[in-house]
Amino acid sequence: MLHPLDWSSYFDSKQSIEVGNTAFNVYSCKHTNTGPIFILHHGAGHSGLTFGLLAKHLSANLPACSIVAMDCRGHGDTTGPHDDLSLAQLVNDQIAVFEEMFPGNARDVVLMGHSMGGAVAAHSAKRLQHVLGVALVDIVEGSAMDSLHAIPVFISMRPQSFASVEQAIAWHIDSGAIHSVESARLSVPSLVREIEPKKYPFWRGWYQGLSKAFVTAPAARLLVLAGTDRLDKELLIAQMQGKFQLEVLPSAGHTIQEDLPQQLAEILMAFWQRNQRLNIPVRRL
Amino acid sequence: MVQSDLDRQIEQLRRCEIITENEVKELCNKAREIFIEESNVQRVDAPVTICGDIHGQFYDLQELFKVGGECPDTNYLFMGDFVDRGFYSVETFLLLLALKVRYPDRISLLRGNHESRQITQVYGFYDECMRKYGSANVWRNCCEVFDYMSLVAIIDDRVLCVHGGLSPVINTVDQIRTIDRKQEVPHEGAMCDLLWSDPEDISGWGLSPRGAGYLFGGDVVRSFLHTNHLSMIARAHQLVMEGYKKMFDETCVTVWSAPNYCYRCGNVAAILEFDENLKQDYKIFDAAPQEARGIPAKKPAPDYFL
Repeated sequence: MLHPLDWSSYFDSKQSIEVGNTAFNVYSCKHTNTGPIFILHHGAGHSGLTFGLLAKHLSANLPACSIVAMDCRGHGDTTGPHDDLSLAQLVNDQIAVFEEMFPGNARDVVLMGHSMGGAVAAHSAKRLQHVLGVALVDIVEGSAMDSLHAIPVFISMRPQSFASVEQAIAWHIDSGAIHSVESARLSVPSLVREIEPKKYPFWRGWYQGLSKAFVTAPAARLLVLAGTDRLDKELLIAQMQGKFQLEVLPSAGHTIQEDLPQQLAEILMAFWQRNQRLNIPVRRL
Repeated sequence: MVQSDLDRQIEQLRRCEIITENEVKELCNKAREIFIEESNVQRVDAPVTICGDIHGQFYDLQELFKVGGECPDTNYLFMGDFVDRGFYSVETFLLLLALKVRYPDRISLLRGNHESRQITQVYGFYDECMRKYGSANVWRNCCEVFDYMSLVAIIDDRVLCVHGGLSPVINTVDQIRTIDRKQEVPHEGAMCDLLWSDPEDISGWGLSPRGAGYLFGGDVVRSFLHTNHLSMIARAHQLVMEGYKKMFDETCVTVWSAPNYCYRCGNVAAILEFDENLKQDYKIFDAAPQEARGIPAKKPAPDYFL
């Protein structure tokens, strides 16, 4: 059965956080006030629910952590003006919501973004305090730029409407867009809103300068890709100079967090654990 | 194996033509018998020419031999990362292996972090073996050879050569000798660090952004060299746009031997020749001209990247 699943099995809370004239819908798990905070930003057309299964695995394995996954401007259950979906606006939104939720934060922060959300994560790193790491999920500037021209075609090939939510879920599974039936049942109902053509002008701006922002982010850097051949020249050089950690999950599709949530959670936890402090096992003579 | 067969295989591989699966199996068995006798720390006599990452760029390896001389005329030491990323990992690794079997005293091969089952399944060597042989047997045979390759070499008791760098749990060369190397590259520990670490302008040790190994500073190198009566460390592992890079008052050098890495990075490559007095001479070379090699097909961009 492909009936929709509810957020409440994956997150502890669903709250509305008002910033200016926008009410951001935020899913979160807030177990303690001690562990790291994972801030997850979804990609264009998705919603915070894309991280539901990932959040469940993270919570189970790292009970002290907090997880925040908001619906960004113009997406999911967030309401308010959505004319401006520029990168600068999305970064401002993410930071405002974070500061509202964690005033005067002193805990480690790990920023992770999927696709377009990766750009928001990379550019937020310089603006927030205590950022331990930045993780990008299946987004590379060069490849994104190369495929921008194909997106309107891609969108036009998608069905304009579905007879039911179940049918929309079925389409996302059958087309291979999302491999996990459970995740599709959770995330698809929230993304039936279509991307409007007037948003095209923002696309280039999301990705321009992403590689540079990532490799110069003042934190540990992790890039998780579904295929190795997606690295652009700048990232290829940076990788072979040892400037970031690259993890490749070839069996995943573009929405890695939905296709392989457990593997991604394990990678993310190891990334945090490794980088939380310098622990040198020095052997004395 | 009959010598004339081996010579024929070398000629075939030099033309970038693969040998049969059975020949690969026999070659790998022979190579393993040789590597098994080598210690973790290979002794190498100068003069010798040392080379960094190759990554399956077969036609660029031919450029390297043009610049440095053919084996066995030139004595070679390769510091690992023979496979992955380039389009001819099979031909590259098998040629070097065949040369090792034919001229064991004229070529040394160290293990790099890409000589690993896990890494080669992601970065191309596994797929290439499947594509060229239709089964995983060749990949499996090669991986068994990887497990037996030496970790470091020391030239004339003075120059330590290693793929990555130093490890915080290793203070002496003797400690390297005690590692049980006949295994898949582990995720942490001395063996992992030797194959993954990078020098950096820091003091002491740092976490490596790669997610494996460490960063080590000039003071670490100085103290390691002093303790072990060595004069320098030569290593590979990091892309250097100029082909080589000296650090820490020339006590540490990175040599990179894959020109225009991945056919698009625009870097030159280098090899480092030590003469019989350990005098250094760096030779720079460019990628093989396009017409000399098969043009890699550009994969189409993924459909949807929002």
